[in-house]
Amino acid sequence: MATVAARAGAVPRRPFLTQRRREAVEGYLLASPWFLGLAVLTVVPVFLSIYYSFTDYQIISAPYFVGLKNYAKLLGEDAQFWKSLGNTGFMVFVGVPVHMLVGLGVAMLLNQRVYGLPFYRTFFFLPSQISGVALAYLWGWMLHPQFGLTSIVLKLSGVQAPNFLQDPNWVKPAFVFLGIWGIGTTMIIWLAGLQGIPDVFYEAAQVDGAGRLRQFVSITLPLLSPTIFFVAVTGIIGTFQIFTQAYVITNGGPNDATLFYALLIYRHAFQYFNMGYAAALAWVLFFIVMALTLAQLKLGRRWVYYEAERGNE
Amino acid sequence: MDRAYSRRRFLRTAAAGSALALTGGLLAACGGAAAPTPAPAGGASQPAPVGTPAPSNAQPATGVQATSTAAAAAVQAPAKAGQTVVEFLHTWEGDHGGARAMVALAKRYEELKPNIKINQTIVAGAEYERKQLAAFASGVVPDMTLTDAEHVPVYADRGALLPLDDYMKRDKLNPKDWFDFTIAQCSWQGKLYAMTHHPDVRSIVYRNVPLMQEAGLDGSKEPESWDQLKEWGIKLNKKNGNQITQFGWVPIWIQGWWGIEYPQANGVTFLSEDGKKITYDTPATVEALDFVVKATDDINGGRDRIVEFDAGQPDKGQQNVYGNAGLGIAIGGNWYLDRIANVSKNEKAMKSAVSMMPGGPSAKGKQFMFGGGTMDAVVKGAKHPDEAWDYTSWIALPEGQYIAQSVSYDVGGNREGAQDKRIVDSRLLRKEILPMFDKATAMAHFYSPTWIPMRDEVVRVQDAMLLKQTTPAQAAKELQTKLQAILDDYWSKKK
Repeated sequence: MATVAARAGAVPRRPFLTQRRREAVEGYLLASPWFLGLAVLTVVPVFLSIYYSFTDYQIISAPYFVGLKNYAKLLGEDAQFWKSLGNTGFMVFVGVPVHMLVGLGVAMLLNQRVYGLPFYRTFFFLPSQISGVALAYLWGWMLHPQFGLTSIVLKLSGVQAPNFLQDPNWVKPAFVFLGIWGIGTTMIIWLAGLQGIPDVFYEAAQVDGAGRLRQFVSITLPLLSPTIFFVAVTGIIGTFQIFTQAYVITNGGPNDATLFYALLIYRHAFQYFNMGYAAALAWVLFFIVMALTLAQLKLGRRWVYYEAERGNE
Repeated sequence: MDRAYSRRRFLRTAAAGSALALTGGLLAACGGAAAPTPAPAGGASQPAPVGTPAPSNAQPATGVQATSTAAAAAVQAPAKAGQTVVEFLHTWEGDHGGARAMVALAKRYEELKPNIKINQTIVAGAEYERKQLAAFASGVVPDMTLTDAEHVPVYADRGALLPLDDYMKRDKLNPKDWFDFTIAQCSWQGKLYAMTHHPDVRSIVYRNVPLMQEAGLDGSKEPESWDQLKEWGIKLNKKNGNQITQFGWVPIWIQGWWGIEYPQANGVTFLSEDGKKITYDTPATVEALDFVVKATDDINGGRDRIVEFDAGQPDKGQQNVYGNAGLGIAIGGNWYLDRIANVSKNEKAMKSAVSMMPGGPSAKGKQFMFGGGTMDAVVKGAKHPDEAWDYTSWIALPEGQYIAQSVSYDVGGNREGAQDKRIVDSRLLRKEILPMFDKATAMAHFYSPTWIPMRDEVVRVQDAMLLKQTTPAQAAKELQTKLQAILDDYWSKKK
């Protein structure tokens, strides 16, 4: 009886597989192919690359440990390391600001209330959807010194076009120019940022007699600062890995003028059989990008204005 | 909760996440994951550096380069029960001599050996070397693979290929039955690692006789010196106003790397016997480089004019321009004849004359012929090495060489096969070029496991010379240092 009473008063045991747990298990099972792929194709190789960076690994033969030799070589002996870093630095510190300015300019134009706006937005966005390789081929022709559209336009203006892609002085600026073709994605981000600025600020400024420039400097830029920050950080990270144009159009030339860092890594990894050295190069790039990103995050606190946070304070 | 997911936090997380994700891709690529798959180099239509041959994977041996980047295809019926499948990885697809030969060879061999199935995996374009590399690295290897002269030491020295000397002895095959340079380029450090698929000679001086006669030159006369070639080149130039309509000769359009071939044709021997020391910076090298830079200016008006000229041609590149009679003289490979006879069929180009490349100022009176080519190798770790060897050697023997030649314009590497009357009599200028295969003495590249980085250095410095960013003397000095450093780095690791 006591047992029966005890049983009657006991809280019924919950089954192990509750609805919530079952859903969780099912969710993980469904996501497991992705997790497996992430582990096998990304996480494990990333950790392996740490080990390989301390080895001489010629891919075909087994790796053997060489300590810090790869890092010492790239920092001390390899002129191409510095050359490629300089070339990439040009694209980062010249190309990214140029692309940001052009992207912002186009976004501001597309932020006007004019007829056919959806068409214009699509028109400017579409080129960014073209594959990098196709784009590289296309611009290879567009910048041709004799038959390229740019050369023809320049000639009509009485200017002799330089050989953009074969002249070491012009090839990097040409690549910066070529990159403008792909501003569509950042343009959308700029546009979203611009549309997030309430009209009331501009109306108040107009009442106070502020002109367009004053409104831009005092309202648009501060309120756009989170977008500027985001575009700058992601732009710099992306540009550090510039590869396709140089690989397809110039193969690093002329005279290494477009030997970018990612191309150098590629050559060592998959053409020179120096996978260990390439891994060291990749890790150095990782630390450079990480350091720059952290510096930007730290500096961002000084100039990025977050309206929502200020509102909560 | 709102604060935890503030805008600032989101942007910070997104930025840091992007850094990790994007650089993670590069790191993963260096950690054994699949290689990235960019488009082929050298495929750019206009801006690839002039005078720079396509990377060796774009083999010129048949005069047709593979065009698709990653087309892997199996071109065979399934194996029948009891058949041994020989896996053959190669790069020739499409409708050109090399590809036709692959099909014809496999078909005939399978008729002869019904118990064998040749399973061809074709990876065209720049993907090919990466596919080979991935196979060697993973250990999941084909039984045999097609490679080229440049890559034999690259793969053999790293232990990817099976030495074939024991098979040669077992089957009582005599290396003397093949052209000397084909055996040399199939070997590395005294061991044989491949058998010829077909060799090529690539410093043939082609002269368009009718164009020469139009310019008042004796087209039947062989060039005796570089200065003579330059003189003829200038006389053969044609202009329409400011527009160049025909170049007489483009010295940097040699079939190979001009920073290597001209010094060699001026008597320079680059590598020591053991391949560990390079002698690049010599007076003869500087003299040769100086000649090319000056001749490019004098004949062609500089590098940019060549780029412009080439871009204006209906078919680009030296062999096509020559085939269409847009070029009076060309130094190129024997496969140009395929282009002339079968593709362009230009009346004037069909009346070409051929000779060997004359020596430079320091090698006056001598003639030079550089060799290259493709070969089949049995891969170390192959499941069926005996069967792979049997097919490899059969291709290199007279019957295989005849079949390969019968469907292409290639020249056999086996002496008997190359001299097959049915082939010799039916091919343009074959009688004239065959003796050149016996005279090929050197290769158009550095025969070294470090060929690829060395090639890139040469290409870079070639560019710099033509751009007048460095002088030939400085270039020779710079290359001496850099090439030796590459060799030292490699050989120090081998200790």
